[in-house]
Formats: sequence, structure tokens, C-alpha cells
Amino acid sequence: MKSNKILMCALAVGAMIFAADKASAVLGVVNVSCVVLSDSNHVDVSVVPDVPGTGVYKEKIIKHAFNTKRVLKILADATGNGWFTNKASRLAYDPAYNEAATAWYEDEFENGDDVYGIFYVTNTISHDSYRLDNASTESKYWSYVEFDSMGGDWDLGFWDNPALGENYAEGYIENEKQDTYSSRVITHGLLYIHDNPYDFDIADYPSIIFDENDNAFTIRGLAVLQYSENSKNEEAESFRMRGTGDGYFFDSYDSYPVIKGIMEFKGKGQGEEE
Amino acid sequence: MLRNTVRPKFVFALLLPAFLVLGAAFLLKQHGGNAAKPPPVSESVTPAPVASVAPPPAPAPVPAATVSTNVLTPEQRQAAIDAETDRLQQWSMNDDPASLSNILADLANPEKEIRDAAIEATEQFGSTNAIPVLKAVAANTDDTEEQIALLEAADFLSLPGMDFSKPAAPKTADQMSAQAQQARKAYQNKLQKGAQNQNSASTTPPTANQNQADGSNQ
Repeated sequence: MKSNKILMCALAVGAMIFAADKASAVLGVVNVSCVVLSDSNHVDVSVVPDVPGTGVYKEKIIKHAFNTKRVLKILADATGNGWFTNKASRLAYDPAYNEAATAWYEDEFENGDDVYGIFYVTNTISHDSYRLDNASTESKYWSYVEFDSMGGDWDLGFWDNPALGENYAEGYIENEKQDTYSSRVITHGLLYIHDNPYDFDIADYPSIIFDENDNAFTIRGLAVLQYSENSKNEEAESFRMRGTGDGYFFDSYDSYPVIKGIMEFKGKGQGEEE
Repeated sequence: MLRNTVRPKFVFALLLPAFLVLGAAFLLKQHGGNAAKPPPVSESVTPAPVASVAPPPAPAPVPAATVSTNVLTPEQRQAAIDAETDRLQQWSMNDDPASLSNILADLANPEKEIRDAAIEATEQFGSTNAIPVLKAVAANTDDTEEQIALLEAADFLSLPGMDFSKPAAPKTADQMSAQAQQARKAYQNKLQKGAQNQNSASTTPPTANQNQADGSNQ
């Protein structure tokens, strides 16, 4: 029994070291594409009979598309950074430890859960970079984008509500001779992008999306989280989530279903020395 | 005397029919000889085997020189794929025809990872000009999953964009923060109230006869 306990402790410590290590700088690009349904009145608010004089009115369901360029438009309007929509701007993500978010979380819920994940907008031509949440622990925390997921070795963003789903399946390959490791976790994920920076943490406050946002949307679904590390301590992380969600857009005063939402992230970087 | 006169006539009578038979036989041999020809040999009717007539088979296609001479290690190959997917990512955020052309060219790349990235890049680029190309490539693809991805991308590009407007009078940071804080408090109160109701309900579970078969709680 004692040896079992020692083994369990060793595994737990190993998992903690691994979790901390894999969360080092692995900056990568995020792509988003969504299909949203709305009624036709969202596009044209002047409701008139289809055929004048007949008294027959129709409201059609219309599909709309939006991609990363549209996401950058929302964020450009929200932050006042027009360069977000310039050529070569991109949404970037680093699943690294987020000190400011952790400080807010500890204060809000009085527990010691760490928050991982930082979003940026970067431009490969001008080399501009803008962090999409408050990096300072001295002032009030704010955030425009979050990716919340929890399962296996992963604990990303704000995720502490079991009602949203925390079950997962995990597989891994460890090659001791070649000193390589790769793992794959399938679990729940939630991407939330919004233009009111104080309406964050949708995992703990599910209705915050409807608070003061003018434009916001979520994608919820099963996410495939992959991690690999080679013998040179180079790390690669990738997420792919395909699901559905909510779209909330100004002038509609309504929430629309996101019937197909895809979020992809691929990042590479040098792992920290253990 | 009789013997002398009859003997030449008798010889003539014997020789004449003999000459006639020989002459007839000669004539028959000259003009009616085909009837005696042997039947044609069957193998001359049967066509000759194709193999013996056809030219030698063409040699197997020779792999492209680049593949045979530039053998990439798995690391080099992955690095080449990563470099191309990075380029696709950059092209996807542009809006010029050259970038679109580069993306569409990669839809036919031999590497599946690059083709997948090219499909994603067409969606991000957001040009309806890509639709016919995506459909054409889908028609020539055997991989069902890839076909679906190509057609989904074509469908995605055919949709109108969502209109994102901003209100005329934006709120100040303090206003937004205060309202968000109110919303969080309201939600926490709701949760606490729900928990209290659950606790109070759990202390008085319905008795067995209170739960009726028809679903009505009395």
C-alpha cells in the first residue's frame, strides 16, 4: 500500500512538472470559421409584405459566414486598433501561464487554480503586437478572448463548471530511447470572443455574453488537444475544435445559433528546461 | 494375210482410248486441280496471339528526378511542410490575387497536410473566386473526407458575411466594468438562491405515496 502511495505521488508530481513544462512559450496562429443562422430581418429591418397588397409576410432563415478576418474586425473596433484589419495581421495564442488572469481568479473564487492561455493580435509586416487581455496585476483585469478547456494534462482558461463538461479521453506515446513524447486528449472546449472587455469568464458566468457585449460569439464542442516534444526539447501544440455555439451581434438584440464553428491552433516553440 | 491386215487396226483401237484417257487426265490436272487441294490449316484462321504482335510494354513511369535525387529526411520533409503551411497562413490574411493564386495552387499539393492547410486558407481568404476551383478539385479527389472539406469550403465562401456594427455612443471603461460586475453578482445570487432551494427541497423528500404514477405530485 505504501509503495502504491509513493508511486501515485510520483506520478502526480510528474504530471505537474509536465503540465508546467508544456505550458511554456509555444506561440501559434489561431484560425476561426463559423456559419451563423439569422432571420432575414437582421439584414433588412424594414419588413414589408412579400407581394404588396397581399398581406403575406415572410421571414427567412439566412446563413452567414465569418472567419478570422471578421474576428479581427470585431477586435479592431473594440480596442480602437485599426491595424488589426491590415494585411498580415493574425490572431495568435500562447498556452502559457497567465499571471494576471490567475490573480483575478484567485480573488474572485478564493482558490488556487492557475489560468493558462494568452491571446494576441500580431502583424508579420509591421511587427505590431497587442495582448488581448490585461497583463498587469495592478489594475482591473479585462479580456477579449478566452479558450476554456479542461481534460487530461490540460487546464486552459477559466474552466471550473462541471455542467459544461470535464470528461475526457487521453492517449500518449512515450519513446524512452528516442526521448520523444506525444499525447492526444479529446475533451470539451469553449472559445469566447467578445467586444466588452469586462464580460469575460464565460465558463463560470454562462450568461455574461448577454451582458454588455455588442458583438460576441462562442464555439463549444469537443476539442482535440495535441502535444508533442522531441529530443531537442522542441514542443508542438495544436488544438482543433469543431462545434456549435451562440452568436450575438449588435442591432439584433437577439442571440443566433452558430451551426458550424471551427477553431484551429498550431504552435511550436522551445520548451523550458526541466 | 488376214493376220497382217487386222493386227495394226487392233493396236490402233487399243492405243486410241488409252491416249484419250491420258489426255483427259492431263486436262483434268491442268484445270480442275483445286478440288484436290487440302483444306486450309486451322491455325491460319485463328488470329495470332496479341503478345507476339504487340510492341513491347512501355517501361514503368520513372519517378520524378526531384524525388529520386532529393531524398528528404522526415525532419526535412516536415520542415518543408511547416514552411509552406506558414506561407499559406500569411497568404490567407492578404487580399491580393497573387496570394489567392498561391493558395489555390496548393490545393493540388502532393502533401495532404498542405492541401488541408490550403482548404483552410481559402476559407480565411474569403474570396468567391475560389469556389469553382474548390469544386473542380473536389470532383477530381478520391479521398471522401477531403472532398467534403473542399465542398464545405466552397459552401462557406458562398455565404454572405455577418454585419458587425458598433453603437453610436460607446460606453466608458468604468461603465462597462460596473455593468459586468453587476451581472456577475446577479448570477452568483441566482446560483446561491438555487442552491438554497435545492438544500431546502432535499431536506423534505417526497414520500412514496406523494409521487404518483401519472407524474403528478400531490
